[in-house]
Amino acid sequence: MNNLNSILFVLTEVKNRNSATQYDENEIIAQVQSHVTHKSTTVFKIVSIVGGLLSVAAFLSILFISNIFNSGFSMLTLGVLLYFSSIYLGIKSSQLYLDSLSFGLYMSSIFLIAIGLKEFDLKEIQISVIISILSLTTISIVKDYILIYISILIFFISLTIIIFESEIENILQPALAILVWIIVLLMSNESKVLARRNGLSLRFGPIVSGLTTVVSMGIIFVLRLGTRTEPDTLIAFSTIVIIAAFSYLIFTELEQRFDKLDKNRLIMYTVIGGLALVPSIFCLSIPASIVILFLGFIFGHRMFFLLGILLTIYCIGQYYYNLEFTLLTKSILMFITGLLFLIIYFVVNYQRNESTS
Amino acid sequence: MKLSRQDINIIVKNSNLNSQQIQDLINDEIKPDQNSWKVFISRALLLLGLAFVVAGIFFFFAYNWDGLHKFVKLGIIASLIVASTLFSIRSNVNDLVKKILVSFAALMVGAFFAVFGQIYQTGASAYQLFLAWTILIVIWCFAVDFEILWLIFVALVHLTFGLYYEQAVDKNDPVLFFCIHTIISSVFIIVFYKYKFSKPEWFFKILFFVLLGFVSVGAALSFGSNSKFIIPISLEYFIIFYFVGRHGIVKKDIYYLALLLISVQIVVSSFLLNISTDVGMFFAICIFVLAASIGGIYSMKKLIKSWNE
Repeated sequence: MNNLNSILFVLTEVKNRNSATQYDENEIIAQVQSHVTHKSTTVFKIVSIVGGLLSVAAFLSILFISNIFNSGFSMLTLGVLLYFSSIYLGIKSSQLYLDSLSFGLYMSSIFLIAIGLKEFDLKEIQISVIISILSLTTISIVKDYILIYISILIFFISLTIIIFESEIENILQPALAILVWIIVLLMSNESKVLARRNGLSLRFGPIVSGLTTVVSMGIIFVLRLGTRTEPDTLIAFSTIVIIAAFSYLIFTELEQRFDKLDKNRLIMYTVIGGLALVPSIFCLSIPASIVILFLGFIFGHRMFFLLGILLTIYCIGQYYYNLEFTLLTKSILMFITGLLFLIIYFVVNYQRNESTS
Repeated sequence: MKLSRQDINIIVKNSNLNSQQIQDLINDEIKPDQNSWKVFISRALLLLGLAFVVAGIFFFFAYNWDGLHKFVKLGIIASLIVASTLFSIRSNVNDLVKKILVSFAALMVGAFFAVFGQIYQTGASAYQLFLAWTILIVIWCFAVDFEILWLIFVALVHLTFGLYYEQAVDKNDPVLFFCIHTIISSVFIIVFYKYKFSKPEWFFKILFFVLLGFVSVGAALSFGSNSKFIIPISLEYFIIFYFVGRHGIVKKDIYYLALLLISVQIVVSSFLLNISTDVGMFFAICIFVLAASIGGIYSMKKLIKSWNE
C-alpha cells in the first residue's frame, strides 16, 4: 500500500531527526488498513447524510400519518428516546456504515423534541435554548464526525433564533467576525491542538468543518439581510476585525513558507493584503469569504477552497448590485479595480521572470 | 505520495510527536509550497483583474445601452468575439489564458444572439437561439479541448433540447423528456471516452452525476404514470446502472458506486410510494433506506479493502 509506505517512510525520517520519537507501528498499520482513503470517507459521509435525510423524511411521515404529532407528550418522549439512542450509537460505534442510522435518529429526535416542546406552549427562545444545550451535549460526548458537524449547525441555528427573538440582531455581524477569528486561530494552531491529544483534538476535523459551514451560511444570511438591522459603524468595526484575521493568517503563513523574506517585506505584504480588503469595509461578507478561500488553499481543504471561490464571486456580485450608484459609476469602479489587479499581476510576473533569469 | 489529514491524525494518535513535529508534517505534506503560493497569487490576480475589467465594460454598455445604435450594439459584441479569439491564437500567450479567452468568446456568441433577438424581434423561439449558439461553438470546443468549455457545450445541448420539448413538441410526458436527456448524456460520455480526449476525472464525475440524475428522476416519475416510455426508461436505467457500476469497479473509485446507491434509494422509494402511502409503506421505506445505506457503505468498505490488498 503506497499510503502505508509513505506514512512509515515519514515516521522513519522523523525518528532519524529526533531519536526520542516513539510510535506504535503495528497500531498504525492496523488503523491505516482498517480506514478507507480520505476521498472515500467524504463520499461515505455524503451517502450517510442522504440516507439519513431520506429515512428521517419517511419516519416523520409515519408519525404524521399516525397522528403522533397531535400529542406533545408522545413526541417529546419519542424524541428523548431517539436522542439517547443516537448518542449511544455515536459513542459505542465507530463503524462508518452506522452513521446513517445515528444521523437519522439524531435529526428525528431534535425535530420531535422541538415540536413536542412547542405543544407545551414554550416560547421559541426557550425551545432554542434547550436545543442548543442538547447540541452542545452531543458535541462534548460523541466522537462521531457527522453528529458533531450537524450539532454545530444546530447549535448556531438555535443561537440565531435566540438572537432574533431577543431583538438583538445587531450582534450578528460582530458574532460572525468573532467566528472567523476562531476558525483562523484554530486552523493556524492545528498542530498545537492535535499535540494535546484531548477532546478538542479528537473533534478537530468536524468542529472546523462545522464552523466553516456556519460562517458560510452566516455570510449569505448577513448579505441577504442587508442594512436592515445595524448602523454602519458596527459593520465597519466587524469588517476591520475580519480584515485583521486575514492579515494575521497571511502573516503567519508567509513567515513560515518564505523564510528568506525579511520582516519589513513580510509586514508590507501583510499590510497590502489587508488594505486590499478595505474598500469592502461596509460589506463584511467579502473579506469573510476571502478568508474561507485562503483557509482552504493554505490548509489543503479543497471543499473550503471551492466554497470560498463561489462565496467570493457571489458576495462581490451582490455588493456591486446593491450599491446605490448609477451603472456608469459602478462600471468605472469595476474597471479601475480590474486594471489595478492586472497591473499588480504584471508587476509580480515581471519580478518573478527577473528573479528566475 | 503525500499524506492526507486522516493519515496525520492516525500518526498523532499513535505516537508521541510534539507540536513542532506535527507542524513540520503538516507543512511538508498538506500545506502549499512556495511555488504553489506564487502560482495561486498570480492566477488570482489575473482572474480577478479580467473579471472586474469585463464586468466594468458590461456595466458601461448597460448604462449606455438604450442610446446606442443597433449596429454599435452588435458591433461591440462581435468585436469582443473577434478580439478574444485573435488574442488567443498568439503563440506567446499562456495555454490556460488561451482556453479562457476562447471560452469567453463562446459565451459572447450567446450574448450576440440575445442582443440580435432583442433588436430585431424576430419572433424566434428561445430554443432556436440556444440551438444556433450550440452549433456555432462546436468547432471551438474541439479545437481548444477545454473542460469548462465542454461543460458549457453539454449544458447548452441539454438546454436546447429542454426548451425545444417545452416549446415545440406537443407532448406532456416527463418520462419521455428524461428518457431523451439520458440518451444525450450517454452519447456525450461515450464520445468523450471513445475519442480519448484527455479529460481529468472530475469532468467525467460531473457527467456521470448528470446522467444518473436524469435517469433516476425519469425512472422515479415513470411509476404510476401512463407514459408509453416506461419500458425504455427502465431499460436505460438498468443498462446505465450496469455500466456505471462496472466503470466504478474498473476505475476503483467509490464515487460511482455511491452515486448508484443514492440512485437506487430514490428510485425504489418512489416505486414503493407508488404502491401505497400508508404507515406500513413509509415504515418499509424507512427500513429500506437505512438498510441500503448501512449495507452499501459496509460493502463499499470491503471493496476498498480488497482493492488496497
